Amino acid sequence: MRERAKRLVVAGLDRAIAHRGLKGPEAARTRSELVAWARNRARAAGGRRRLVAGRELVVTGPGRAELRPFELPLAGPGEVTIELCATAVSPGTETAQWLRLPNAQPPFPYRPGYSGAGRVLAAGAGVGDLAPGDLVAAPRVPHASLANVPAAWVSSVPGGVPVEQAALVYLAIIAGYGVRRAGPLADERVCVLGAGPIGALALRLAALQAPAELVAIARTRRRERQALAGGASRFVTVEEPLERLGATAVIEATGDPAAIAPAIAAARPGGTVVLLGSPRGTSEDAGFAALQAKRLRLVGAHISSLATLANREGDGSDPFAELAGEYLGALAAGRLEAADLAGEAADPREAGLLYDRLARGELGAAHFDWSRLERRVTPRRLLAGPRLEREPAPFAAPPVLRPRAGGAPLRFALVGCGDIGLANARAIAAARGAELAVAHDPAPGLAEAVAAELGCDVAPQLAQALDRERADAAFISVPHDLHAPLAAEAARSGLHVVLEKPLAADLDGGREAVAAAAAAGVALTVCFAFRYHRPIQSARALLASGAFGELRGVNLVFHTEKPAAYWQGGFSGRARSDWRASRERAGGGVLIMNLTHYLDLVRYLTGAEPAWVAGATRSEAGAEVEDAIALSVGWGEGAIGALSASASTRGGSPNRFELWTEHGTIRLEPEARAYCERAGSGLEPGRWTPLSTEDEGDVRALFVERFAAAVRAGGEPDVTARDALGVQAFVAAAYRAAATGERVAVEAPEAGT
Amino acid sequence: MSGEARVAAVLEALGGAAPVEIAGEGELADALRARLGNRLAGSGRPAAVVVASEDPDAIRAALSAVDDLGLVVLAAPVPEPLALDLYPDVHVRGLTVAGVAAGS
Repeated sequence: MRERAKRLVVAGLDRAIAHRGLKGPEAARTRSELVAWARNRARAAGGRRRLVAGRELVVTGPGRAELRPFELPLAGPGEVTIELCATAVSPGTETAQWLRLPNAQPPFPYRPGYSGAGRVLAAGAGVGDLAPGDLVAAPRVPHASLANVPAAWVSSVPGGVPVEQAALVYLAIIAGYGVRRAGPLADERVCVLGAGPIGALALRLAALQAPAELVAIARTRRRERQALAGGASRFVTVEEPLERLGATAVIEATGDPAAIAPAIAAARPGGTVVLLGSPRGTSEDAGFAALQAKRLRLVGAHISSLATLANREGDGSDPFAELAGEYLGALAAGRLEAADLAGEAADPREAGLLYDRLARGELGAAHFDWSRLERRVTPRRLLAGPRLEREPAPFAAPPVLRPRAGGAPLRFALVGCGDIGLANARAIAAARGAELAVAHDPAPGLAEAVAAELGCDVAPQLAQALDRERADAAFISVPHDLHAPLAAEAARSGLHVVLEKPLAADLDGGREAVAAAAAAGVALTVCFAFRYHRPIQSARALLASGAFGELRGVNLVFHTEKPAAYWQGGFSGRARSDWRASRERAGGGVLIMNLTHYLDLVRYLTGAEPAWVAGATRSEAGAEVEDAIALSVGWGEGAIGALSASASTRGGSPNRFELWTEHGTIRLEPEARAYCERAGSGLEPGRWTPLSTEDEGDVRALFVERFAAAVRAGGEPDVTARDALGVQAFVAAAYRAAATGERVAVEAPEAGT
Repeated sequence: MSGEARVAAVLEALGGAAPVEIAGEGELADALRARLGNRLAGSGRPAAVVVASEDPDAIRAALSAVDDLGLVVLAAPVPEPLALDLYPDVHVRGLTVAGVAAGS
């Protein structure tokens, strides 16, 4: 009946999951979570136990470790619930699993770790000798903030023993079992092969048996000092003649399948070799001929065989508890040191980073410090619904501050009333602290259309627009070759200058515009308003946290399809002109027309100036400007990038804009999300997190507001002249690189100014 | 080593292990079977396997067939090199592999 009920429930769950459209691993995970949710509640309700939630480390795929929430009913009969303070990392086992080495490929998802220590949170019925608050060492617990464990498994931690050393208890049991299988060691010559934590523990536990000589053997002398401090009387490498050692017992603790040969070589005839390390793969020669010639005994010592041994002996003894007690007692008595074996305290949220460091050999020992989490254990209500979180809530940096209204608005003269001019006019009209005073365009009707929509004056002549009596600033949205001369004219008239991007048609023009503004003492900026989009602000905040590390690369793809009419009048055709197709007037094609926003964003986000650029362009037959460009870019600290833009991608293609760093990746297009393997960024480490895309208003209007506020305050605008020159310098270098076929250094923004 | 000496060496290596399976044919295998009598394995996994064959597959089969925590005695000359994954049987199941000098 129970089985039938169970089948009905599971079938119902599967239907519900399928109804939500979940498939494959996603469906499997949801099913597993729902079953766990139901099972935990059944156990909790049945045993009248409270529910608590913790966090556990789960390796979900190759190179992917996540900290996931999970629930537990508090301890049942004979159990204790432990709030874990530290869990030991077994470098050999866990690195092998991380790298998917032979004999170390648990199916995904798996929960690594098997040794920890912490405080008893609850003791179940029948547990008399442990109480909440007691510090215990717990074998066979995975990396988690919480665990239920049979009380018979745990050992009290004697006073004065650091919790991270107590957390090594199961590694010590494993090592101690290996030492036991070697036989009596007193007054014998003993070798331990392997200087990792298991080998080091085996050596230290063997030392407690007062062997005549204790020799540590390793591939290199890197851990010689540690081995000698741990009780070895001698340290040799595998390159030395091991046959001379003639050890009664050799404990092989490397896990290297090739290590069996040196282990056998080091043993004397009639001796014992203990295979304590788990061989990761096939030994090309298991050394059985030499084993036979020397009449050796090779003894396997995987910890699972200890359980078999205990069951068979059936005398009620608990060798696990005995070995744990020996280790903890030796620590408490000062006869054994393990601080170096506990190693670095790592944040569990950065498990992936830690495993990568272990795999690269940068670290020899570590433990997870669960006190780094803000809340390790939280109560859960029995009636609370299942938490099926698929991804974290979107990350959103605070929006860019809107300046307060107050004081006289900054009056703008709009110069150029084409498509972008109209957009800028609307932005000015919507902006706090700004006023669209007058509009000018030499093409008939355009300025009038702006005035009719937004209620400003019309200036038939340019000079009437650039009148200091009528306007404080000029917003110039005209063909690129006119940017520099109009900016200079506006500056000479005493108006602050806002240019629609780019700064100018070429670098010389850009420098002229900047110089003119500087000479006139007016502000100059370029409308790189994309900076104010929420995902960009979030990306900037994430990078500024430092958790992401150094920039490593940029990938940008901008592929669009501009209709033939675009080249004669833009997208709307309001302002008829073929200036966009003119090299002289536009300064170039898709690079200067479209990529300049992104070039500014990369500088804005990373603070990095490109050092060099190489690339190529292509143009339609007879066209002056490029309709496609492909660039390779290098930044000073070794970051590289690939930029590709096209104005003739048939059907268009989603943009792609991504930056990757030492410790993470930020993707801004096609979707905005970020990943960081380190804690401290504001993201949950090891999980892709969406970035909020909710802008607070129009970004162009915000740009205008902030420019107006900066000018009134006498400060620098958000987009400085240097920023604008930086982008212009890159564009110039890119075109030069495409023209010459060579790699070109990008001039510093200040150069030539 | 004389035949009798080898049998004695194997029996010493075996200690009191039982039941025992003898893998291989020939004089040594026959002699061991005769000496072990009712310690020979019937059905079920043997506590010890004596490999009296030079066939490397016989060694692999012995490691697989012996019971957990069991003993494999190498009584016949072992071929070199002998490629083996020591993990699943010797290491995990806590086996003991004892070498008995075959030729001296």
